[in-house]
Amino acid sequence: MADPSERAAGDAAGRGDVAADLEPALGRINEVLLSIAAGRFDARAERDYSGDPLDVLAFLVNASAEEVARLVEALRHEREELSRAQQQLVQSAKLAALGQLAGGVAHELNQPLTVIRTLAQLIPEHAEARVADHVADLELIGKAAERMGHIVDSVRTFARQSSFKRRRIEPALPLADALELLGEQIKQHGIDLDLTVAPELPLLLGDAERLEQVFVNLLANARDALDALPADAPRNIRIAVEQDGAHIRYTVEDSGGGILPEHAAQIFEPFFTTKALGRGTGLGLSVSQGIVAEHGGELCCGSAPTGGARFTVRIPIRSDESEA
Amino acid sequence: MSVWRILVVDDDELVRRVVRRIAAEFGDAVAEAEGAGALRALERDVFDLVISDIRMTPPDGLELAAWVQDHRPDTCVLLISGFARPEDESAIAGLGATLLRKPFDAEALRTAIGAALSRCTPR
Repeated sequence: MADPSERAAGDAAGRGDVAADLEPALGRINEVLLSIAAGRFDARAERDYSGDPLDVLAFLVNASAEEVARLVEALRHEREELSRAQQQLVQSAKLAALGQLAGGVAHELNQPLTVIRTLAQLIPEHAEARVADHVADLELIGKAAERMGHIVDSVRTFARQSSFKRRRIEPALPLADALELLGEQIKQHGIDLDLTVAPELPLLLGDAERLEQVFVNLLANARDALDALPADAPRNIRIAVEQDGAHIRYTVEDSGGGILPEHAAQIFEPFFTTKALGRGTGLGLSVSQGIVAEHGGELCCGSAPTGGARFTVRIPIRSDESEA
Repeated sequence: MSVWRILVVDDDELVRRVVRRIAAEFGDAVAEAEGAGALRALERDVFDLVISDIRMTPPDGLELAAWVQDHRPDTCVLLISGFARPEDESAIAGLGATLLRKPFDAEALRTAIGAALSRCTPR
């Protein structure tokens, strides 16, 4: 019978050997785990299919890596779906806004249409005249048609579905585009518009079409608020574009009835609207807030000195970032 | 034949030129691009007819019509608009003015000018 103390010494020596054997294998498994942690989910631990604890460990590490890869793929898919849904929401809100703009656009087309119709009637009345005598009228017709083309273009640009794309733009550009669509209508609703753009603003890294959508929403809301006033009340919209540190700040104020305190917390919620049925979708402000957030900016509401609503859009200038 | 004196007011250049052109068939037509200029012209000269857009930077067409009613009761007013609210229509009637809706054509404008002038006494 062997000396028990001898056997114990032998075991100790054996354990030491096993630990030494395990070390490189554990090191390899560790590397695989580090790879997975770094996002390389195809990393796999080598197995010898012996069924010993090390092989089982390698099996478990590989199975976990597969599961993580599956979950990450599912997450990526969900995110794509979400982004698609968001894009669709932006587009739906835009088309809804456009539907509500239709009346105003029709009116804007009426101006040049009136000119064309009237002159087109006049020319045959003087059929005996030479073409040269009609030059002034034909020029006016040309100008009117050009203006109609411009209006149609601005509607088409606005309606176009596009992915979020930032480039360097003049800060006032999206506002000017929104006013192309709504300016005439604002005037026809008896509203005085005061626009102040600070001189020499730096270029902004932004998506002009998306930002235009924000201003179309804000201006349409201001117009609706002013329409709700009694006939003799003053109707004003004040817009300011200025630099505010590393941001461009847009302020849109109206002299309407303002936002009720009980509504302030909800106005950015999707489908919340105080407008009459069929007048508002409740998507404008929530989508606008999403667009501004996409730019890393913020959209806030408050009160104008007149008691009307004031919306402030702040968009970071980001002079250091490249275009996306 | 008497020569009517007509003042055309519209801040839209194209519309202003076209309306003035048709108005000129009826007499002497002068045009102003904004309400303030129109008021100065009305204070300075006597017109038989004022044809004005409603929506303009103040004074707008309704304010012009009110001034005419107070200061030039013999002058007729024809207001043009593509967007007249019901309250505008009653205001227009109250001011003794008439309304022509956009879009119009040469015939509609001639008829409206003729009808407005038929209520005036030439000076």
